[in-house]
Amino acid sequence: MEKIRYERPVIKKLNTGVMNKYGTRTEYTPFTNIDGAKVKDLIAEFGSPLFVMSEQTIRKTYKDAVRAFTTRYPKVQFAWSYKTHYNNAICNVFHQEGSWSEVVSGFEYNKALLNGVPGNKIIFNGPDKTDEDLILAINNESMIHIDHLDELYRIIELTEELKKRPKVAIRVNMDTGVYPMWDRFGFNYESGQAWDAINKIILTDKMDLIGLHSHIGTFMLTPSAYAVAATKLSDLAFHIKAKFGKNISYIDMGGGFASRNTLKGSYLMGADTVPTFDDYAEAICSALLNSDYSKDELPLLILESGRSLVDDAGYLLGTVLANKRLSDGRKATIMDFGVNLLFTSFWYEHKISPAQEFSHYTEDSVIYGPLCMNIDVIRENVTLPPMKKGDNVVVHTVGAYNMTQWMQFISMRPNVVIIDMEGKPHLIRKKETLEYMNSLEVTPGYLNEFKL
Amino acid sequence: MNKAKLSYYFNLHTQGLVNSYSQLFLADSYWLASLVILASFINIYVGLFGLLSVVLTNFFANILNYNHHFIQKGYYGFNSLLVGLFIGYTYAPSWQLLIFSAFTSFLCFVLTIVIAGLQANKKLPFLSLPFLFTVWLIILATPHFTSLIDSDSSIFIYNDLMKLGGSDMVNAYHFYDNIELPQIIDVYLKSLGAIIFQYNIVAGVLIVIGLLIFSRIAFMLSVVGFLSGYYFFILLQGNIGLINYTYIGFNFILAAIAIGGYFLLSNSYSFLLVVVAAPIISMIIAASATILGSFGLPVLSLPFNLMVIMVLYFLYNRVKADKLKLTQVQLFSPEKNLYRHLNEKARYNDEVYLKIGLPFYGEWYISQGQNGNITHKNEYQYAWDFVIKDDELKTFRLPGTNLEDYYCYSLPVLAPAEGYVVDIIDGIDDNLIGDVNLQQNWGNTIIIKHAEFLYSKISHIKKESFKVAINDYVYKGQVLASNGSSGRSPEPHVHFQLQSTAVLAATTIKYPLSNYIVKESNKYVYFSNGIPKENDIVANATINSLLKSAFYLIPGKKLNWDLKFENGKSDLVKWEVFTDINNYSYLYCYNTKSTAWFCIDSHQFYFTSFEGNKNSLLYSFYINAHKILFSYYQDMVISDSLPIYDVFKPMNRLANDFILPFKNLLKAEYRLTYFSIDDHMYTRNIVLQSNINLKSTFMVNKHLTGTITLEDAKIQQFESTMNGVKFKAICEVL
Repeated sequence: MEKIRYERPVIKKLNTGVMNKYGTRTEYTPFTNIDGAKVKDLIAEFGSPLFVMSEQTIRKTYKDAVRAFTTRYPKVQFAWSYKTHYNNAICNVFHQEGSWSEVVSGFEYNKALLNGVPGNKIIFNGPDKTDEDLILAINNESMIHIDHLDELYRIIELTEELKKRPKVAIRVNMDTGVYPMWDRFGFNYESGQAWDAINKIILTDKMDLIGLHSHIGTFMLTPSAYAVAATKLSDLAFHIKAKFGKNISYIDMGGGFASRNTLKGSYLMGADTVPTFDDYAEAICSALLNSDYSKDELPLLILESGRSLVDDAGYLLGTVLANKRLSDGRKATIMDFGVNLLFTSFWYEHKISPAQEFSHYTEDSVIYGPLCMNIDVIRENVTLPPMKKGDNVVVHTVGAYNMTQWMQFISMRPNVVIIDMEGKPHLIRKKETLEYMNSLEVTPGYLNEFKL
Repeated sequence: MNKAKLSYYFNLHTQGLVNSYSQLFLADSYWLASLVILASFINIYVGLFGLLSVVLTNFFANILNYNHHFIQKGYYGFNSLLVGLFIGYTYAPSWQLLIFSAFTSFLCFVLTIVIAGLQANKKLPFLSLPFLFTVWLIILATPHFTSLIDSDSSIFIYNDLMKLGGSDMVNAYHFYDNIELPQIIDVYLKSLGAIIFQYNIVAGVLIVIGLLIFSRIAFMLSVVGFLSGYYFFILLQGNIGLINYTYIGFNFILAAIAIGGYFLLSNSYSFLLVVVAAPIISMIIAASATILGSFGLPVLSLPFNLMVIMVLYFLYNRVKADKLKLTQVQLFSPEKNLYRHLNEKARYNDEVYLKIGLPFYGEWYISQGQNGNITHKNEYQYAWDFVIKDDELKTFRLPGTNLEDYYCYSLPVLAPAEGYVVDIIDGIDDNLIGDVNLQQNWGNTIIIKHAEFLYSKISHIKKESFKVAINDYVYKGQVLASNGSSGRSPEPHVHFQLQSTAVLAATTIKYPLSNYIVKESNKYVYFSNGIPKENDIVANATINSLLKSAFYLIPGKKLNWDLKFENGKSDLVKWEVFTDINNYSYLYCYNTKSTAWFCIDSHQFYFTSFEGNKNSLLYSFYINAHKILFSYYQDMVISDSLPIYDVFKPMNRLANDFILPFKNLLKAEYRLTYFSIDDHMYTRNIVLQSNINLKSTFMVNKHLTGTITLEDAKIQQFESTMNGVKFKAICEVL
């Protein structure tokens, strides 16, 4: 029989609340395995902290999203947003499922090419495209989404040099009734900037305007905003057809769908409040089907979802470094991962579960990272059972952006593993080493030597 | 008259002449015609008057502006031919007879037009009725014209033969005509000769050879019909002299060919009909001999005419033609008719006039199929229930207690085909999960009328979600409403059925769905028409734009091929697309003057028939691109049947022809594999591979492959083999 676990006593102020037969028991359950792989085993094999991706969850989420759209609209295509998670293994899971790729830099563009994505299935977004990037994209017949007039002018110049007709779309920003309005990307709909760009593209006749793109925001909690955007883009497409006789072959609704994370300051849990794929699909597809397109000219609907497809599939495993009591009496726990790895803790209240058995007593505490830096706070206030040094925790819903926005601040990046469909872990990114870090650095000869 | 016009008229009249001889046996075979012409000249005056009558009749028809096609086919000529043969046989040649025969020809032509017109109203043929009436008229009239003397040439045939070919000819004729043959064969051959008033074995043999070359089935029918009639006479101890001396038995032969292989498709039943018909013809022969004899008129082909017309009228009035099938498109050969029928049956039997699709977007799961276990029983057996399942085969996401948790809830419901909305039932609340509304069991429902007696019904729709109204015309795929869970629906699902009336609780009818795919372990199987089964995952097939645009061959489109053979030969081949006045489209090859007819509908391109040079690129394309579906699913294989008459050479068909009415042992299978595609959304390149298997019990099976490459909305390249030599043809579409 296993030895009964010692848990230090907790002193807690009594609060009145709704009575229930379980007393003050929490909803927490120990989170001991991911898709059948034991958390303790993973940490033993790959070290702590450790990012874990669940292939099963990615594929299931992707299928849910595809189903939601393809059962509402006849022509749908997803394009994997590289900036959300550009690890090759993760990208390839999406490509295996049929996703194209959406990139926002030459670096990501080349990564997609190296992954084997054909050039004509890469959507090139973003305000930063160098000449080199543009030439590559034009030669590969990629879809270039123009962000500003300077880019448009440069592409016109390049077409003359390259003697090619690029396939382009313009990014359109608009008022969809939500705040903040993202007007820093693309051309504005209401002010007529979008028409200005469209006129310039079509009248110069140097490139083919094949699509319209919008990306109305991030972590959007109101699907109706997408309906507004889809209607405005359809309207634009319809009038392009009326004015120039040109068919817009796709409408790219971008991304911005919320994941099941809880935003800071939100009253309810994210999982209970965020819209489902069906809600977004219903808004977008109905708007497109109700627009003025004839039934044979319905444009392809492209979606560039990132966060909502991959966030749920990511876990961060960590270890308790120490416990301490703050001056105001609050309990603090220091973990071996901080904001250097968990960038998203700046805006989410990440759910954290202990990875081992515990009693039903809990305590309000602050979760700190290991950095010697005051901002390194993972959760400012979380109710957790008491944990000892060496205990493990699992942070949920960390699949999006963390593994692209992390940094080697104070410590280096850890291993990343993927749990395959059979529950077997595979290393997909090695932890960084001192040699690797140093290999990038160049020290001028005269700085090599010193004496202390 | 210019040269082209001259050659046109020359062709018209030579073909009209030859085909008139062929028409005597309901054929259009030049071989048969040549041998019949030859046989008719054994008694030279018979042959000459016959020939003259046809030429004159066709000339009258031409200057009086009758249909050139009918002239060319010999429709006007063959009755006059018979009249001419009769005159040549009956009367001694003289210049008066010549004048007389010109007028009888004209009379016969007039009677042909009159009788053809009267019969056409009843869809019945005129056969040799004009000949009969003309001849009877002549016989009744001649006693009053004394310059027309009965001929003795048929009695003194050696005199004519001596004049023609000297003693050798006489000896040869004597030898052949006196061969000791069993009586029945002797009578059979002479009966055949009697058709053209040549009562001798040589003529009979020539015609038998002609018949065999023309059609094996026709020959068999002639034998079967003759034997049946002959033995009926013997069995009932009939006046055998009627058959043995006047050779009136040719009526059995002609009726057998007409009934057993020409107007009906040859099969065991048509043979049986021939066996049954012959004794009846015997009775008609006997009866008409009695009646006509009293007027001094011969029976001639009257029994054949009466019998065929009777049988046809009799068969026309059936409610359903299944065992004895009438020939739909007359190709003037029992074999051609039958091969074509078999091919069309294999190709188009499951085609439906109005194609019904699935009433939703995306992939759905059939939770209850036709004749299902829950409610699809008895009069409601031909219905489907559809839901959506995830990979774990759940129809909902957790917790599954709300309507919104169900994947198919609130999804768009589409019109399965175009039509008018005839009824909408709305206002019934969606049930809570697990609950059913047995009072209004169909729930919110829409009924669409697609055609007379073809309605579709979609039930359990979400309350107040209808986007169309009663009397609206909806197009195929138009969003009608949202799916719900009203009526007898414990969880959201789509109930879909086809029925023949607009009544809400109408009985379901068995009607196939069209152009859908079934997902089988991550592969898709395409169905042109079919009834999807319970547990199938189904979706509407999507059309690939490249496939559709590449095979969108409209009049005026030109295809120029740069043809290169492996052995170094090369050629430039030019095709053009035309549409004839009957709206049939065809590809015409200028190089070989060949034609390949095709059809295009919303989901496919397919060839229907070919005429011309079979050593041409067009013929190769005709069989290798025989059917192209416009949907692309990787490794999809579609199969079809090729016309046996086209792909098997006559010699390879020969043995099969004899048993064809009973069993076909030749198979021409066509398979097309969807080999590669560069991209499903923006397709620029597709490679299709054709596989043709010619299977025969009588020879080594043959195999042929081809590759068709489509690029940038056009047919780009075609590779295959012609006469064992590989070739590659690059296409330029203008």
